[in-house]
Amino acid sequence: MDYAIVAENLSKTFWVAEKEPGFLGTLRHLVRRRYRRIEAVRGVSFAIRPGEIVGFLGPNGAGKTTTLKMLTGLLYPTAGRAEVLGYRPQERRPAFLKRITLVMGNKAQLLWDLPVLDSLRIQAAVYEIPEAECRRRVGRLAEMLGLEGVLRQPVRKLSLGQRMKAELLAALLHLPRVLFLDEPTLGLDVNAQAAVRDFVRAYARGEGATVLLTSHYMADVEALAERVIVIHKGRLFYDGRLGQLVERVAPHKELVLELSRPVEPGLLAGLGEVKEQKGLQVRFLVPRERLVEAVGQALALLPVRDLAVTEPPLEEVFRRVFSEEG
Amino acid sequence: MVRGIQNFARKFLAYLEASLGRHLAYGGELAFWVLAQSLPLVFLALWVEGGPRPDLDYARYYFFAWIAGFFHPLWVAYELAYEINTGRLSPLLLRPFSPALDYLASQLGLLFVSLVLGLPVAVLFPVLFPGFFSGLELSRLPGYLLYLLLGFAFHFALAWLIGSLAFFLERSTGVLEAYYGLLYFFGGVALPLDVLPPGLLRVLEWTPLPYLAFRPAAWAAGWEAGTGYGVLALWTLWVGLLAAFVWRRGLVRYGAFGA
Repeated sequence: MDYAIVAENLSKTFWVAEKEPGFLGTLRHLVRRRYRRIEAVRGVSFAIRPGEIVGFLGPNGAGKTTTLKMLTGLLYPTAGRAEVLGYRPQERRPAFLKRITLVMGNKAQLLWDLPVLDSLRIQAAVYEIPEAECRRRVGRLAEMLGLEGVLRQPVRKLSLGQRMKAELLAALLHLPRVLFLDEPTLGLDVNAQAAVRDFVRAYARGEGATVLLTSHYMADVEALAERVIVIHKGRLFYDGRLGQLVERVAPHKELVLELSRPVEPGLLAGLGEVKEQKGLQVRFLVPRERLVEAVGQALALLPVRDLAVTEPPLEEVFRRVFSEEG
Repeated sequence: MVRGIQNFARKFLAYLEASLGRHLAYGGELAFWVLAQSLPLVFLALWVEGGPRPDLDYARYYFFAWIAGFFHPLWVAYELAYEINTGRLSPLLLRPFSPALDYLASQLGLLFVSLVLGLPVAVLFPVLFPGFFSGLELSRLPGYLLYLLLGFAFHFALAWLIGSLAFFLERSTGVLEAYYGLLYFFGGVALPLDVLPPGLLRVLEWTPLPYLAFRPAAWAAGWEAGTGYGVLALWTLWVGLLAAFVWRRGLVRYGAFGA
């Protein structure tokens, strides 16, 4: 099998009923409904090799989650073709479902009122995992996630971070070959985000799993994915290495200066676009071709105590790109 | 083959076990649900006061009609419609096990817990009506149980059909309100159907309604009421096929809203 995941001209259109506010709007809605056509995904194509970890990016409403739902068989494509591990996802064959998982950061599949172990027992039965093997896997995955002490607690008593980790444990108990992760670190604090990222990386390496990951936290993508697929307004915007994307869409570098004393604002403006100034620390965006010149100027004209050149944060890159695109 | 059956049994039992755990976690609330199911007992009080039959006849009839009420898993329609409308169905669809079997196990768990919680009410019957058991024939028990089984299957299929309509309609469960009315008055929950005009009863006999409370209760109570397993079985088959069709078509339309 050359590819684990294939999307070929994948499209999804929804018809959504629209209603004006107020009583008259309600009456009109009752008598004559109006529907709006929403093209959530428009002819998206990509292919992912087994074992790859790919970031799936785009602003809200870009069509990321809809694409994931088509690839997992939850949604039928309006047009185009999806193929995962050689299966047509929408047929939802048991052999296919046993090889994939979808984790959605905003949705729970664990039984709310029961201990995590009860949900895991169901997972083990559903995925036909022998009990001894299940115990071994639960032990190993719980250790990786730092969940050993909480598996007997009702899910509703867990913290958000513990719950998300428990969701991951349940979702990976059957050792899926393909992981679809939709905002797996949503709402988690920095430590929990890092723990989830480390776990996903370790699992993917250990099992040779293919991962397609959406996240609004660029740290997730930067830490896990070398390749990113970007969609915007339902269309493919970019597919390639993360570094190349940054070069392509961000013609700037970030220059951070730590000054030894305050200086005239006019002196700073000449170096580049001042993005932020906190006390004696100043962040500039400088065009890549002017970087050397700007650094030389800064060292010559300003009382520089420290200096750093970095890529701008991806959030900022995407904000710029997508706001320019409209 | 044997391994397949073992795997299926293991899955189903795991769901059943979880269902029991979930329902028992809220035993107090379930007790209220059991009380809400006790409407036939209110009607019993009315008929004992003014009905043409001996009190014991009504006591036995409403006892068995009350038990039959636990075998009506119509609540599935509300849960399924809610899960479709909110996208909470998605995790169930991703499992290599039919969501219908998950719901079935959940309802069986609920049934078991309800029957246990209903025991204190059941004990009241022989206390309030001395001689309650003396006239009952054990030989009628299998027929009664068959009615309960078919009634459960019919209502599960009907609930699945109505719930699945949520793929197409914004509020599919509205029709259930009307159905409850029909069930109460033409199913035998509120009144024994032998008090209805014979013409109306003959029409009703072509519907599943009399076989869901009236016929089972009357049969178990020892009344002359005839049987009708075949009619109920045919309705179950027909509604079940329709539910399967709507479910399959609905999955194509599923929007996984919000999930």
